[in-house]
Amino acid sequence: MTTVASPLSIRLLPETAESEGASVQMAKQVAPTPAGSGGMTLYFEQKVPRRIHETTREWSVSLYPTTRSTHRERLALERLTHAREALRHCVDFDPDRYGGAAVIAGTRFPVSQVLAELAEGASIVDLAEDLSLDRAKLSQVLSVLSAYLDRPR
Amino acid sequence: VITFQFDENASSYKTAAACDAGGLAKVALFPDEWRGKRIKDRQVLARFLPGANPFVTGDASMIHEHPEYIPELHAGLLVVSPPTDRVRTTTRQFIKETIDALKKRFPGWDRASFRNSILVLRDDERVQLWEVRSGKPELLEEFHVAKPEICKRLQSILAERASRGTVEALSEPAAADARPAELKPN
Repeated sequence: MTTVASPLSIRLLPETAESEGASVQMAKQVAPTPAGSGGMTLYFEQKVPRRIHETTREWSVSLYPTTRSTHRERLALERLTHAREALRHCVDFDPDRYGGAAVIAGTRFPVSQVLAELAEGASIVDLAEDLSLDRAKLSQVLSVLSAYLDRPR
Repeated sequence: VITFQFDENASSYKTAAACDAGGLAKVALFPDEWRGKRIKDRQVLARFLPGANPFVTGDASMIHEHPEYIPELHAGLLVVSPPTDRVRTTTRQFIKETIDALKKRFPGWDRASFRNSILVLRDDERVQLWEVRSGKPELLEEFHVAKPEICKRLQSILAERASRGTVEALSEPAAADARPAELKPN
């Protein structure tokens, strides 16, 4: 992902990603973004597969490209925290499973495929029945991703 | 009739039913007892590659990250993976389109043996042949199967590789040794 100068960005700390694992902890540190953009950077203590880490080392997520409201930032942090926590229960990031891709918890079924299948017109019911997946888990993944991308107002 | 063993993300009942109806191939779905059990890539390779059926997966990284679990003689590994230079993700439709395209260009595919071959199938009618040599994966050749003479060449290479031997030819202790310790019976 591209780094965008934005009031709120998330940055992974390379030095904390040495050990392999999947869990993303709460924001460890909050600091103002450089260049006086008026926002802040959330530093996460994160364990990610090294292969993924190398590609995500520099990523930032732009949540509010136009707004500088601290109220919104607080809401965003709150939402993000809950979304991340929920994500841990329904999505696995295991470097030894499906090449470390985000997969539906417990399975070898990548989340990216769920989204792509829906984009091709499949329904959750169809996916669950045809691929022996847990329908509730599929719905949960989509809800959590939705929350993750939402802009709290 | 050739039987393909599908990985979990490809194990579609509809695909299996369509193959049954076609009468040329069968699909072995991902085992029920393994679903939801956090099965790792190396466990999958250790279970399916020494088997009789070519293993079909969408996970191209397996070849690069677990070459030590790909024995010299194996059932065949077919990776159906979209090229990285386009916005396309593996889906049931993608797998079907890619395999259908290959079948169209590959007369007698149902009688071909994929034994001892690692193929990466792309949806642009290109097929890559890989091999694990001294524990490292190597791309041997890329075939543009839209050209009949190239397709014929691929077929003869596959036949030659299949003739190198079968997994069943391994003695039972040798096969057991080839299995990772964590999967050996107690």
